[in-house]
Amino acid sequence: MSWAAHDLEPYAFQKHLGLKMAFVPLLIGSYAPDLATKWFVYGIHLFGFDLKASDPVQFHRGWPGVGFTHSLLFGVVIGLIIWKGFGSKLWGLSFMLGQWAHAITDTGDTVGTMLLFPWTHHFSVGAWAYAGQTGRLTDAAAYFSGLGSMWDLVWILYGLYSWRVLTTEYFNKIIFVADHRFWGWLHKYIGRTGLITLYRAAFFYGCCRWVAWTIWAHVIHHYPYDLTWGGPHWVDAAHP
Amino acid sequence: MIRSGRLQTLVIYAIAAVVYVAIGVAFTDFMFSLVVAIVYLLVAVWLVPEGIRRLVRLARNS
Repeated sequence: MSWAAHDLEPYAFQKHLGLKMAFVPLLIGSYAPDLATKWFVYGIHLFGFDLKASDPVQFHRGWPGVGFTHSLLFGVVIGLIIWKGFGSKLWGLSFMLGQWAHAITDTGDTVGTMLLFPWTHHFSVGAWAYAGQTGRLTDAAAYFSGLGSMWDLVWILYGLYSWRVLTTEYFNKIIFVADHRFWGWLHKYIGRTGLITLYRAAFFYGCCRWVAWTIWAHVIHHYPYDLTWGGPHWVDAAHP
Repeated sequence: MIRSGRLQTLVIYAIAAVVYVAIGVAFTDFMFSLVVAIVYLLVAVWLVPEGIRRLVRLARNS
């Protein structure tokens, strides 16, 4: 799995697609595969009960399970529902692109994704260890010690290089105009500064938590970096 | 050269980022939610600076 990449990729797409995409569904699509499932992968303690998938890897990425959320077909189906059900081709296409980015990015880990579901083959580059089954803190420590963390860094640096997409001028000329129905509606409740703050929030979140988790893992807890392929090898990486 | 408006925005975001990172490192639960991050950012870079601006204006006028 990836952490900050899903926050940051939409800004990179935005830079290249400009008025052709709507940012909000692009971002929602980028989060969509994990939106309702990640809590069950890590497990939560609720009203005295521990809720966690008995096989987190199978649940998250497999079939049977909700692994189909990481397939290209899932993006197409939800995109079509948005297009035909809510009458917005722009939102449908933008959602699909964001979801595809997530599904393809997650092929980077050792479990990979069923990109061509219903074919249940897992496409995996295996560059970094999938450690979701170990719980969220060990997963964080492992992710921010391996190549996944470097992949996130690429998106942070590309985002900083593309800093103009974060400016007020860009928001006014491109983001607002491309999706004026949504932003115009929201503008009635929060001012322009509020809109721009919301637009920048995912970038802020991605960059800050990359820095914070890196400090937590390597300065506070001294987990060792292992930037070898499939690492870090100090954690038991899951495979399909 | 960075325009003064942009520089002011950059400084506000930088301060908000440093505080977010400090809270996140101390309390990791804070970093697991995008919703928390959005609310935090709205408060830190919009509501708080706006409140300070109004207080300064009030102080000048009184």
